[in-house]
Amino acid sequence: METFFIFALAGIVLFSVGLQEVLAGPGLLRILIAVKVMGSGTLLFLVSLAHRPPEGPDAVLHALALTGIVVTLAATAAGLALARGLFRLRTGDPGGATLRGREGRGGREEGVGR
Amino acid sequence: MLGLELVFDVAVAVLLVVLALTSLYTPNLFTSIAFFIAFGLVMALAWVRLQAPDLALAEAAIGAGLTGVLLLDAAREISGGRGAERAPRRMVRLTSLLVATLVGVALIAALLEVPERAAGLASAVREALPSTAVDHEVTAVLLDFRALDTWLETVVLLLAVITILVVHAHQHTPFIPWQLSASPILLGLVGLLAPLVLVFAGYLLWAGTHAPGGAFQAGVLLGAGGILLELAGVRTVSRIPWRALRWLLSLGVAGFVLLSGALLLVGRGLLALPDAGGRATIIALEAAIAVAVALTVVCLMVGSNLRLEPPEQEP
Amino acid sequence: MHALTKADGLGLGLIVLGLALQAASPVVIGKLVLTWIVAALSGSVACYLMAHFERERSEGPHARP
Repeated sequence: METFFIFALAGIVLFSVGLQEVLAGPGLLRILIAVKVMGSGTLLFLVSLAHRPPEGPDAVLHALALTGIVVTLAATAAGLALARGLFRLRTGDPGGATLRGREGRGGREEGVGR
Repeated sequence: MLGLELVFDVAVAVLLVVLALTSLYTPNLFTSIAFFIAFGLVMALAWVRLQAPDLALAEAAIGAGLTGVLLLDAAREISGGRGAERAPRRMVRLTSLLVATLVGVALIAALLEVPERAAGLASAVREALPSTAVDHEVTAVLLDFRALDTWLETVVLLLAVITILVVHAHQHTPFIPWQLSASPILLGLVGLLAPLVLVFAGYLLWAGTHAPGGAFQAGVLLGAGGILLELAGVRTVSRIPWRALRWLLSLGVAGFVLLSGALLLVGRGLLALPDAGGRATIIALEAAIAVAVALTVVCLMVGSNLRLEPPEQEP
Repeated sequence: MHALTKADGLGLGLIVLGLALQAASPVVIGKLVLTWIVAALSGSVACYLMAHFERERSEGPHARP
């Protein structure tokens, strides 16, 4: 049993675990985390395929995976923005009022731009 | 020693699955995110085991660090600070479990059919490497052989920034006032780390030509430094006026457009790099990408607090 | 807070020590030690910030830093 097989297997398991949560879990944030887990599992599988003998690490697949990581970041960020927008719509909160966690920064009053 | 390596690999793989499961099944949202960050770090370890140091660099910075910060920021707003969530209904949970298990089993069956030894493109890349201007295989693939993919990647990042800015531009709260943090300890650390980040990002960018590194890792590191500064109240990126910022954000895409335009005019193919001065071209392109990525990353974080129009009144 | 400080500080320090014994040149040792210092510093600052946040949350927003 070689390195590549172990990680390929792990990749598949991660994919399934993420898939389950995407289908089930109601929380938006949790679904985003699950999608990221699925993505990581897929990339893990891809790169472990790249690792097989006799040739050693395949640079094309590595570059693909790197692109994948960056694109996942972009997708997660966009997804988070949409989730927050959705949340604001649902709660009728025009935005940001719930962000008043810590006032202790000596902040200024509302209504002033900068 | 082979047995020891195997044990380590199995340990890392098992740890990955356990961390993912814990992250997804804890009821508390913040705990979930914390475990997710740990998952990202162990993933970086897995990349090292698979002989992919570029991926390890990227995953540690992006997957664990950046995504974690973005998630925490969103969680702060969405859960209102408490962090508990309701559980899904029983039927939904059972069906999803069933579907996921079926898919997993099917994939494992497919995995068993995969040949253990296979020729990929590794030797082709290795043979073609001397014809490129760089010495590192992954960089050569990213910026020479498959430069088109990298171009589209910069476009995707730009789209993400646009999405964030559009969604948050309609909020009615004012720009959240970042004041210089009252804590001397944080400021001290930031003062120490910021120049280190700058130097190290520059090194990563240059090192990408002959060692693991490159534009994206450098850009993300720079962006992380920028976020650290912003969070400490030292306003660097959020001070850049929007008129200039939008051009800087498009620097990666613009770099590719300019390069392809120039190459087409000269009569070569779309992204066929020149033989003379090819290395300088690649480094320049990587620098443009790194700057764009860094600004994009900071805007991803700060963008929820950024104003697109100037304020109506000056204080 | 334990997790932040013990893993980054002591754990990483010991790992660096072990790797330094195997290192190829003093430059590599220097890099390893630098990594450890930065990680330990940020770990302790993060720990401090967390403690401060908790204190502010329980005592009100104007606690001294």
